[in-house]
Amino acid sequence: MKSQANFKKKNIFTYTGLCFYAAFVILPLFWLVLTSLKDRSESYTIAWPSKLSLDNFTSVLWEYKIAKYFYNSGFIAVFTTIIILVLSVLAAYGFTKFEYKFSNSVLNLCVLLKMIPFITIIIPLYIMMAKLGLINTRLALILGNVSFNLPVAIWLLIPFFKEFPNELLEAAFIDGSSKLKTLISIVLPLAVPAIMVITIFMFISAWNEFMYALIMTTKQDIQPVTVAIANLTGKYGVRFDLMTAAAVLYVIPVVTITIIFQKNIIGGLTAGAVKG
Amino acid sequence: MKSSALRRVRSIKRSNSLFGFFATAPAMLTLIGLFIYPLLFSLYVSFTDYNMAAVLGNRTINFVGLQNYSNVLADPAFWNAMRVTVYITISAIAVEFIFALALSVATQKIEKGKSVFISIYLITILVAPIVVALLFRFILNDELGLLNLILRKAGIISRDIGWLSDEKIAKLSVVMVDTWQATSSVFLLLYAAIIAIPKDIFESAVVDGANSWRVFVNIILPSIKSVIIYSMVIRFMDVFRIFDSIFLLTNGGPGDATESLALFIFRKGWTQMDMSKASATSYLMMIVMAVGILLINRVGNYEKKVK
Repeated sequence: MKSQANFKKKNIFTYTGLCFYAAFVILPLFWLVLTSLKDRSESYTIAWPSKLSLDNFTSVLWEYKIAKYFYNSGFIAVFTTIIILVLSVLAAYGFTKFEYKFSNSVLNLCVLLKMIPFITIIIPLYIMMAKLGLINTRLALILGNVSFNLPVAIWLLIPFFKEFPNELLEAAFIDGSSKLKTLISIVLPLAVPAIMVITIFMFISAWNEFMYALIMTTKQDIQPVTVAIANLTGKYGVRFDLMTAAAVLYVIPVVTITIIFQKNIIGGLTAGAVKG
Repeated sequence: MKSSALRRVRSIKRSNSLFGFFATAPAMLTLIGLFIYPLLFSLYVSFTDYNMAAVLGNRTINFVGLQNYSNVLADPAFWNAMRVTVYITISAIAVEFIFALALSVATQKIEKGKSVFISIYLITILVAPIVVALLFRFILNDELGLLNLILRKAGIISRDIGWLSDEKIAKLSVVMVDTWQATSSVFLLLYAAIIAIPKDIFESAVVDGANSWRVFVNIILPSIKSVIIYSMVIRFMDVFRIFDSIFLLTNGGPGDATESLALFIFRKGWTQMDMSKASATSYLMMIVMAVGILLINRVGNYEKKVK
């Protein structure tokens, strides 16, 4: 009896701790949403809003024209993801199932690139893009995002392709299926979970990217939302009313993805660390 | 007969390795063009007097040997950035791992609501760092911020704390923001490792009369040690190049109290347009990071040997 009461007391203690941390996580986000719904005259006050309004959202949409930045962010993130998917799936298939001379060393080198801080290559990339006349183009942003994220994508895919049963491939080859056709018709349908992980991570990484976009763009027509939000601290003073509204709009897709694909995201984040 | 079969096997082998080469070639060419070449180019730039004028093609480029490196190493601003970065990195990792360990052990213990807590914590990882910085800039504002208001109402403080305007506290605020954002990713890794520990080990420990603390020290910690080291390396690489959150939170200020190495490189390269010193600094940063990673692995493995 005594130990059960003790156990319960301990459990309450544990739950309280977890709830405290959850509050620490949620409170700032709640504050963000609340502020975005405040009237502009109240957005710098800390009190509960006298009324909730969507004015900040309409002004960020119509005056600040946030939609074009969303288009840029989406465009960059979608094409980055597609290019990385094609390149990394082909590479992982080749590296694991059709080894060639030095293929393992090449793979190791590629994984090693994951360790290099990308600020080291941002400077030369800027010089390269300037020489090629690609500053202020979406292409430059896509190419940069592809290069930062490709090593991670290959690294995440390799374990899956390694475990893919060779017997299935051999059976397909005996039936006369070509190697590329086998990849598309046999491997890919079974690789959907792994591909989901890559898709989600690459999309979010490109969607959240800031530093490279800040350096590569000066024209507003090209800038993604991250840079646009940062710009709201500049010219017009710090516009918390517009920033919070833009931030809420920006976070909605990510939070939606998180809720829908929670399992895939956890799988991706813990891949490589825990075997089995 | 035999030789023709052998030839066929050989030709299949050759066609396989040829396919492997061509399947991996697009990704490798992309990395050579957009990663390895820039990396080497950056090394070359760090030994020259390259600057924005050279980017625009207006002047010739001269070799200057190690001059950029010696200039940077003699620059007090570089050492300030190094100190700030090391301070933020060590504090953030310490705080995040203490929180993450406590949270993962606690989550593993409870019966109901595990997935609710995990989903809540997960959100922070995916919100853009730039948005997190903006949010906390708002909350940590001296007079208008939520945090000072709460502390004032609760009677904990009588005077507003300069979360972002006091030099010493601003560093801690950066650490706090990083903790908010990144603790969850450490938590997930440690949690996944803890639930992978076979249940019967816990049960036999409880039968032996071990209390929770002893279970934690003698069973949980040793079993997840490799994951702790792995996630520490990952976190170290991330915090050491911290840029986005500081850029919007304090922009390196007040003064240069929160100017991290990445911010220093950004200013050298794009505000002062001195690409060569920026490249030299980024290579110095890479060397320090390599040493840091080796150190974390060394310390982790050393303790393993002692045990």
